[in-house]
Amino acid sequence: MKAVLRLLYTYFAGTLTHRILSAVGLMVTIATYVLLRTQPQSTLLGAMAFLGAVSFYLGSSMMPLTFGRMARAQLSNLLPGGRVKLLVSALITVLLVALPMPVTLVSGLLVAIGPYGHPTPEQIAQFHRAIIETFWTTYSVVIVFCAWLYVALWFITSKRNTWGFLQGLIVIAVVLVAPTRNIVLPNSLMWWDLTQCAVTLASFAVLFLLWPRLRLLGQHWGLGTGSRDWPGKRSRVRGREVDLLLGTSNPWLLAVGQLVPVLLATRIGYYSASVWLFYLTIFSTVAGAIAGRAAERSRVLWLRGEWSTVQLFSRVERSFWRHNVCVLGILVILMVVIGRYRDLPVVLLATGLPLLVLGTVLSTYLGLMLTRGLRLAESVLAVAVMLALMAVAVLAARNADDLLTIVLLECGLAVMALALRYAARNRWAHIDWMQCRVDRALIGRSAA
Amino acid sequence: MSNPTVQAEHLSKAFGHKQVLRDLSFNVMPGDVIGVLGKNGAGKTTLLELMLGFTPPSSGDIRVFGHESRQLPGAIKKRVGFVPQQDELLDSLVVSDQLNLIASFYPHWDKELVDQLCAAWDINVSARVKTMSVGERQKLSILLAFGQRPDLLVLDEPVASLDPLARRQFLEQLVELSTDASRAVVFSSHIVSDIERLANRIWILKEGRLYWHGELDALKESIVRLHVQATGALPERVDLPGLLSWRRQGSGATAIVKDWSQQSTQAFQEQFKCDVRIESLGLEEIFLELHR
Amino acid sequence: MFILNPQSGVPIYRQLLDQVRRMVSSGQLQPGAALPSIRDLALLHAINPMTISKAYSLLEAEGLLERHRGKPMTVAGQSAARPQLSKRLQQIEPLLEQVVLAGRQLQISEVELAAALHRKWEESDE
Repeated sequence: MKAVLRLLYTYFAGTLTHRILSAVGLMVTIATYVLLRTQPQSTLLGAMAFLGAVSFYLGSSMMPLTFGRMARAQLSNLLPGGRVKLLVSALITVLLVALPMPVTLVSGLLVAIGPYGHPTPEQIAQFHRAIIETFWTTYSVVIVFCAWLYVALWFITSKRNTWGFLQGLIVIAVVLVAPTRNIVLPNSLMWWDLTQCAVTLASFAVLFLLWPRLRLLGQHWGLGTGSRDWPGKRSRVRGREVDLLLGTSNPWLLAVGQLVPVLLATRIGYYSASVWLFYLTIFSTVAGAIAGRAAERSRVLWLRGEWSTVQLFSRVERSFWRHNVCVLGILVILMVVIGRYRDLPVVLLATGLPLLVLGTVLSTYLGLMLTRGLRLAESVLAVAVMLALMAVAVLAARNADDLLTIVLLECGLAVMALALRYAARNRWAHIDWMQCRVDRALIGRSAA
Repeated sequence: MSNPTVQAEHLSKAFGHKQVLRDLSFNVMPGDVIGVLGKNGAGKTTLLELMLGFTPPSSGDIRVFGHESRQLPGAIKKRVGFVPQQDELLDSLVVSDQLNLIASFYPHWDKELVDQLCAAWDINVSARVKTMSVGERQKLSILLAFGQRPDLLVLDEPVASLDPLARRQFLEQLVELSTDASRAVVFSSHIVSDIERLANRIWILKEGRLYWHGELDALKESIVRLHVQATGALPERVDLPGLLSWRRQGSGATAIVKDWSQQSTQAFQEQFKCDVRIESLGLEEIFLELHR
Repeated sequence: MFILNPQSGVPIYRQLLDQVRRMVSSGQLQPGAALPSIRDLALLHAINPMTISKAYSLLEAEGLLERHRGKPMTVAGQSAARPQLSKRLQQIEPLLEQVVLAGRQLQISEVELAAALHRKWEESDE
């Protein structure tokens, strides 16, 4: 029990950033709850509730990495009750983190009873039942959503190659697909949702506990000896040294790989234009995520070549552009095809395509700026940029006619991209390689 | 005769087609400090992992405190400590949080000892793990195992990255631990001098087999180097009981022999009309000679 | 107090045995003198306490040391006999071996060697 509590403490309060995020999230949620009991619903309160939930979730974002690391550590086999306690702590985290949204939602609904005439006792009882159902439905859906998001986070933070990112992408795609469906179909039964939730959590738990045995069976049947051989890897890797070192030598992997989650989504989901644009914009930023490790990896290049750090920067930049042009190309074609298929207005396509390009450019330069590791300033900037992109995407889809605003916003984003490039270039001129050390532990276990 | 801490019988381990360990049988008794020596890839880490139940044996049996190593109950796990070759610390945590996290799993955690060692070993309790050097991280890993006060302590190359001072401090702590005759320590190391100081029993792993498993003193007394000086020519090859190697050098030769005795010296001197000088060997020399 | 070399080909317990015996014979360790405790000696030299315990037990069996419950080992009193001649001869055995070997290498005959030994003995009497 003590161990589980300690684990929970580690997830939510392991670093200062996480402590702040968890605390802020909790306080905002409580404040929203209290306010919703007295004030009518409004977009502001809705936004507060959303932000509180998100902040609280982000506060626990250390969970997937910590969990993954401890689960893979040999020591966890020796810790008494290690795996079980680890699992329990993860489940409790998911249950806690999913709580703010349904709670604030329900409190908002509760207030709505008041001003509507004189309801009969049956009506009140019915209303209460409906509220309870809404609570459990929302809660279970959010639980599943959060759980999958954690899985995606784990893929993205623990794997350090393109294939890992792709795996994370695929999971995110599934995540964004399934709950959206649920929310759109309001007649989903509470029991169905609860069952779905229970089944998801239970299967994950069982899989986790049985994983050592399964892995052993896998080894028995000769399925891999632990070496990383991702699909598409050829026996001879060709490319320039720059590209090879930075991981940009094979853009087709990401380019073609993107197709998988997108096609998955077309098969499964129902979508409005805004969701699509939103979706694709997120995708366009992944290409840049690889750029985040460029600084650290380029140290070898600097040692070998006769380039100064500024020259190195332009070489690296060029390498990433070579990579991104391929990936973006595919994405743009995808956008056009889907657009025609779904009969999206041409205006939307016209505003959407630049957005995709901007997304890639912004995230690439953000990644290149990470010469001092991912600290608070960089994280905040990254989140801000992501939110801006998403906001513009949604805006472009909703108000496709208001061209001027959208164009202005996109120009603004373009200016931001230039500013980020300037900042990145500056940073590289004074780069201190001792400070951009990636998690050594992750490198040591990159084969795991 | 107390119960063995670890008991293995005809233990073998293969990964796919690669046979790593063959037919090992041994006992670890409480009070033993066992040094495991072997070339890289000889199977040291595999042996330790088998002992801790991380992987099942391909054939044979291994028991820890009487239980199958793969099915150690929680109560037994509390008595086993392990220091892995590559540390498994959580980088984003502060040292004190990391210590508290592991401590929460063990009810008999010795907080006093841990605090005392943190001070003695120069570990900054409020530093973040990712800012620590490799040596400091290794010290912390070792500390985590000591805090448990285990009855069986298994260490895989624990001092590979430690400076001489830190190594000596670690050895002193192990000595302290081994004054308690109910605890057993098994550690593998390349630093032969450490093993010579601390171990009372040696396991030498060669080609997957336990080439030697016995007392260190007996090993040193058994294997000696003969320096032969002859007036005439010496044969290219010689057939002697216990001969491990024979090298001719000019009018002399060097031989490594096992279980040598005074009578053997006299007989040899008479047979080959030569003079023989006996040199006893340190553990490193023995290891080198066994692998030449 | 003792010089112990763990890297030597001679096992540590034997080194300790030899040194204690020599110190007792030479009078460096008087009867009744206390020896360092096993734990202290082990910590000082960073060696396994069982090695020291083995040496001490062997010395006790020889009659050279006495064990006292709760107190460190002490050198046995004068009344505990001076070790037998054969035991004492055993101590210089390695030295004798060296002399014989050197003699052979330098091609000195046994008679000449014995004469040299006699001369040395006479000299040390003076």
